[in-house]
Amino acid sequence: MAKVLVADDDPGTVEFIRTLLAGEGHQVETAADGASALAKAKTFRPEVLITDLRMPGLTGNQLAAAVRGLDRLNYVFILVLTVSGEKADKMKALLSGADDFLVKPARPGELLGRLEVGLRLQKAESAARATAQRRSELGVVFKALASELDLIAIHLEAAGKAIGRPDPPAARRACNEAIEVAKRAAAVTRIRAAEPEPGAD
Amino acid sequence: MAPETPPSGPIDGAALARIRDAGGDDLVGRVIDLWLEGAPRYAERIRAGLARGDAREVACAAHALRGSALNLGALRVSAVTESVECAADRGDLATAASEERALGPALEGAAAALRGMRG
Repeated sequence: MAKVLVADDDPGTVEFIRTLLAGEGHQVETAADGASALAKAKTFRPEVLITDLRMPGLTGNQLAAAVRGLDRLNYVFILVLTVSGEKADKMKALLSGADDFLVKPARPGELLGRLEVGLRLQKAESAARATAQRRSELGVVFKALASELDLIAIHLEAAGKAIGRPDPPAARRACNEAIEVAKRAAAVTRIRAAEPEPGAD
Repeated sequence: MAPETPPSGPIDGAALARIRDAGGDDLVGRVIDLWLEGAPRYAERIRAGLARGDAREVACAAHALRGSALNLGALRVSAVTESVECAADRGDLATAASEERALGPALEGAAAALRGMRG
């Protein structure tokens, strides 16, 4: 089951798509214009957006571009469904952020097929983005860890030098500092290790 | 899926078969009702846009009516609205107005056929 947002100002087309997709178990929200669709996209967080091109307010292309800017982590598969099969319209839609283009009237089998392919792409893209995000976060953690380990090295070096001198309290202080820093480094790595991998659920 | 039938008359039976495939006769009835209710409003928007000299409104309303007509297989309505939309997109409202004159009869023909199918 997927969350699908349908944006079209023709109630008949909306009813056709809504019935078709709901019959396949998908959760469908609808909007009769681009601005309402964008507002619903923010709260409904669809996995798929099916949009007409020419609508009151925001056009389908403007809507696609706006939806692309909403959430960089959760990818939305955008299918343009319109009466125009002109190459220029297709190119403009794809450049605006659409993934696929279908000319009205859509056949049920073709629409469901495109949706299935779109959901595969959506899942793969979202997983790839989550992985990239996690890698980026891990990079920050490892940099912090490296700094702490540098400190450990400095303190231990100082401890080593102090041990050779007649000043045992100084050696103890350096060792204690090294132990504290090591504990912090361990805590940071433990917190990250406890977090689940993306897509592990 | 139902076999496609070549279009004859104001409504393309293949379009209705496509809707029937998606949701049965109940969906066909609902979509017809929505069209019978909405198509005159789009036609009125086209006429009002022409009267105001608003090419964008004419093109938008013609586009919407074209899409809804295609959905139901109202081919004549779709052809007329495409001509109106293209002319309005070019800013040629004189041609759009001339093309629009065929819209009334096309709508009446399609509506009568659809009401007949609705029973």
